[in-house]
Amino acid sequence: MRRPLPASLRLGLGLCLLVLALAAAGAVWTPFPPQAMDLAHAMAGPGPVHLLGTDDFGRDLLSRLLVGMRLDLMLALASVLLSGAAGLAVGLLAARLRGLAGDALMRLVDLLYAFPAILTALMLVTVMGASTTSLVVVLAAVNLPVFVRLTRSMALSLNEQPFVEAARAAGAGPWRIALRHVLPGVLPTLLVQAATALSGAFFTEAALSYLGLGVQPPTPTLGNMLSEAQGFLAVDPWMAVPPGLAVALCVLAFNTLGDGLRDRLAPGGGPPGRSGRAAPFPAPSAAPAQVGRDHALVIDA
Amino acid sequence: MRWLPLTAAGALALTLLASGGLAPTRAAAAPTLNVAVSTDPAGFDPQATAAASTFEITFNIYDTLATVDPKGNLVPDLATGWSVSDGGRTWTFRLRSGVRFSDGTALTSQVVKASFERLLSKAEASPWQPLYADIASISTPSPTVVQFHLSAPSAPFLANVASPWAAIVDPQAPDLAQHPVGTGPYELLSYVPGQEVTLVRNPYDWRHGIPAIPKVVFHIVPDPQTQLIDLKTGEVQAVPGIAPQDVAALKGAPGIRVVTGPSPFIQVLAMNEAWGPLKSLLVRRAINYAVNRQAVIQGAFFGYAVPIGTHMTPASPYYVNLTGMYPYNVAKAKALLAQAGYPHGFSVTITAPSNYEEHVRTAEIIAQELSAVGIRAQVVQVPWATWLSKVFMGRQYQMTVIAHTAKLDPDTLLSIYESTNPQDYMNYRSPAYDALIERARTTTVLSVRRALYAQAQRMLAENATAVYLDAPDTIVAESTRLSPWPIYPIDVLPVAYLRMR
Amino acid sequence: MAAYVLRRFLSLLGSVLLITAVTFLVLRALPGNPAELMLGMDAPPGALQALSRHLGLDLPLPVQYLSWLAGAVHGDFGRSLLFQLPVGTLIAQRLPITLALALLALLLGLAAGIPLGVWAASRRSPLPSAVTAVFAQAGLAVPSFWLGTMLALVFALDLRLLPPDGVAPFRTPLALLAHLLLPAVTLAVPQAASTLRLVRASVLETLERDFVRTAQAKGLGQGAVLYRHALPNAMAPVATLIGMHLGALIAGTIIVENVFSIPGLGSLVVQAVAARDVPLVEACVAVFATCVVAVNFLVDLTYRLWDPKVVEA
Repeated sequence: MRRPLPASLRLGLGLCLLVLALAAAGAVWTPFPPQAMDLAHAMAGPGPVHLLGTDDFGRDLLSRLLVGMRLDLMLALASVLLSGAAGLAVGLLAARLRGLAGDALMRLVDLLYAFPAILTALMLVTVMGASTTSLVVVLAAVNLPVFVRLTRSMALSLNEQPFVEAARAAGAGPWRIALRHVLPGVLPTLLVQAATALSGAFFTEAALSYLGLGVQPPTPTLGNMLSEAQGFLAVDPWMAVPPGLAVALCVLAFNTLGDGLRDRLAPGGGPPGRSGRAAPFPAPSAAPAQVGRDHALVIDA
Repeated sequence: MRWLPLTAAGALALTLLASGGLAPTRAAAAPTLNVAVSTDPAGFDPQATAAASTFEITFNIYDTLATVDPKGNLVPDLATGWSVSDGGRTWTFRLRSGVRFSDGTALTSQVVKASFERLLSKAEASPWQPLYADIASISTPSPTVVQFHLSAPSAPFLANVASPWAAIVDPQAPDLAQHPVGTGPYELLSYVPGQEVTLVRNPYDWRHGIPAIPKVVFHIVPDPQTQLIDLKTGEVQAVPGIAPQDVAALKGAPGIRVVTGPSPFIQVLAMNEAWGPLKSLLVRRAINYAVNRQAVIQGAFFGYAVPIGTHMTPASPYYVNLTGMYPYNVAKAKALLAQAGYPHGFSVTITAPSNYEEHVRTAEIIAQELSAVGIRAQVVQVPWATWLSKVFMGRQYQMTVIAHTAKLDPDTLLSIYESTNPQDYMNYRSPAYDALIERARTTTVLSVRRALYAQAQRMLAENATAVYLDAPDTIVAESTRLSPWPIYPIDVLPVAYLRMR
Repeated sequence: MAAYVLRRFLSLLGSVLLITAVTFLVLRALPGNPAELMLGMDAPPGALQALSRHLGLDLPLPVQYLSWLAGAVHGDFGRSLLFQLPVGTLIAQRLPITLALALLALLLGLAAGIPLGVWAASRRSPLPSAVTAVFAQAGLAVPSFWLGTMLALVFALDLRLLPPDGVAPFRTPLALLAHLLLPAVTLAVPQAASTLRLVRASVLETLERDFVRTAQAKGLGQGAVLYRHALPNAMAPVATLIGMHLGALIAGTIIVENVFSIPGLGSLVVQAVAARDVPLVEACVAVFATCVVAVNFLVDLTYRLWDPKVVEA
């Protein structure tokens, strides 16, 4: 039986489509070349020529916004894909390895988690040079431990499930079990986490730009537009408004999508193994979002 | 069920009210001058460090034999006068009498000698030792006369002796980095890292009626926007070194005045003469024609800079105005490029240190201007550490935007182009130039030095070694209660002569 | 259990040791060395070699690390290159400030997040859910450097209610609180938003449970069911989350400390990395890592105490 899509999911999908549409628009057309300077018309407010006004170099804010949004979106997608895939693989492996090896692997993940993300970012960017590639790696590294921990804890609890034990009794090998039985159980939750991580990526990109670790100017991203505007807050506060709203829109879109997916995939918050007893963990359906958000905070807050 | 959020909101409101009365904490004590600075000093031992953040403050704690006035003249300080003899090899300084350190120790020629010996000692490993390597011996014919015997005549010697790192310290003091002992107008009362440096009047100060303000607190405030808020709320009375774009935000602010003056910095677009197309003189000249200095000054410094044409600050008496050599001319730049064999331009990177916003902005503007003559320039931002290591020491770069800091003697600016200098990061090689600089360093006749340095500056400009862009202004925002801030030709924050209503 | 605690404690020590070693290697492998940074462009040529030798930078890396470690074991963390002060002094001065800021932010976050979350779970009208959803999303969507500057502009500059930046000494707690309030609120807003979401989800889930339904069937009022039965059970995940929040908050003070000129550990570590101030970075990282690893350890321990089933994991 098909249930209607939850309202949150419909809203999330709608907002994400809007973000996608704006980013796609930036790919094919912008009112002005995003890097064309016009120092004579710097810091102009919104008007008929420059719809959203100009920045401190007299560059068109709307054009930069559209292009920046596309770049941010690509950064977010690439980094989440990377950290999700790597996290899934390492998490499944960690769930398979028992005893010392598994413990050691998890301690390594904890290590990455314990290392202040801002320092990871600082060092990675210094070593690799500030570029879009290094930013993808940095954002992925920030998210990786969350995906690993999530995958592992879910895989461990799924391993105890009757249907998995039945498969094991029927002689299925460990990898077969991991791929056939555990993976499908893990994926929906990872998808929810991925949406949250996507929204976190916009946030983190902005924070890294504030610390001067973002994408090279003059290439616009929402983050470096916002942090550039920060330097002019006293003179021209408007400059911070369009990129600020755009960051908020993107974060909102993917957060809502994550909420919607959660409502859809785990209605009533019912994770595997619900029991009458108070759950010791935050319910996995709720926890991932929290963990992911925390991690973004390590950088941002 | 609905009372919970209300309670939380109420608690928050109460906290706000309770703390509201505590807001004006710093402005309360009247005779104190509060200054916002952006970084901590690297200790208070001027001999031990190369950090400008130290000299900015220690300038008020220590004195030197000679010192500099706001116009850049070398004037008596702890020495009341000096003379040169033995063909420039012997410098004799007569000491001021009755001078005491802040711990009561009397200043004698022995102490001056010990202070310099400390500067030169292996154990202290002062970074400035190479500047004083030519001191063969120091003698003290009387308690008020000290003599420096040099191995060779040295024209920059007086400037070196007047530089902040040549401060006369109390050599008996056990830990100058934490507990400075000097003869300056102020002594250190307390230092809380990351928060504030508090100076109070030196009880033994030899100046009369100076300093006028008995207590000065330097607040360490890294964020420039927060510095401005501090000034507007009266938490501080002076912000030396605000960003040029913020001047507009202060226009019309009641009780605030903006003081500007020449800074010790010159900004250049350095070109690596050992790299590809930049080996060609024609190409370097083309780039000089293609860069519009006025656009840089407007776009990156919002008008608060003056154009330069060579590697010297306009504030220096040695400066030669060569700004007319390469007027902005796109057609000429294109023609020169074509003549050099690059009719369609080439690709190049401009490295800029990411912590200096003005250099990054300048690089962005230049990249845009170069595209007009077909040169595809890409800006690469690197952290300061990487810039020093890769560009300055390693010479692994193509073009870079950076500022050089003028010192008291022109030799420090111009000698970096000497072929043998490890800091010759532009790879300029000219035996004729080397000889010029060497001669200028050893002659003590002022008019000859001036002529030699003028020639050196012209050589650099004609060789188009760099695009010599501009000399930014130092901009100080201060309360109108304060007398106008003195702007010096070196990077110091002198507060002793300030007055406050 | 004792064996487990001991094993985890040893692994905690090992983790911190490994982190300092990795940090050391990475820091020295990064372009730029401490001596170059101390000298900048201003020092005369020739100074670099002498200073490198003076700082022991010409020694092999393992020797440098081990000599640092030997000092650290004896409580001597060396002298900061950047501040020319003993590292121990700097840490002792700054850690309490960061801890105070993080704790205050945690308290504010919980004080706002828990009641709002409970309110959001109210099913009697759609209003609470909608209002809190907007707050939760907005709280998570505003970059903190922007929020911090805005709060300073409004509360410090326009209204003159609170000091714009800096801290006050611990002996004047009220003044300290006044200084820390704006930065703590900046930090707490996203924390509150995420706490709200968790509490809401957790309460909603608990309300579905059998024992709650039983209580409802017994005819208990909405409020009684919520506060006596649902809330205590819903708090379990929140309790474990506090640990994680604190760890994240301590590390997350970096930007806020920068905006508000708070002399804490967060702003210190960024400065130290930029200056390649090896002894200072090492000490900061060790402190950060110990905090986060220890908090993680406590969280895991709580899991175990709640649910013996996890022992095998």
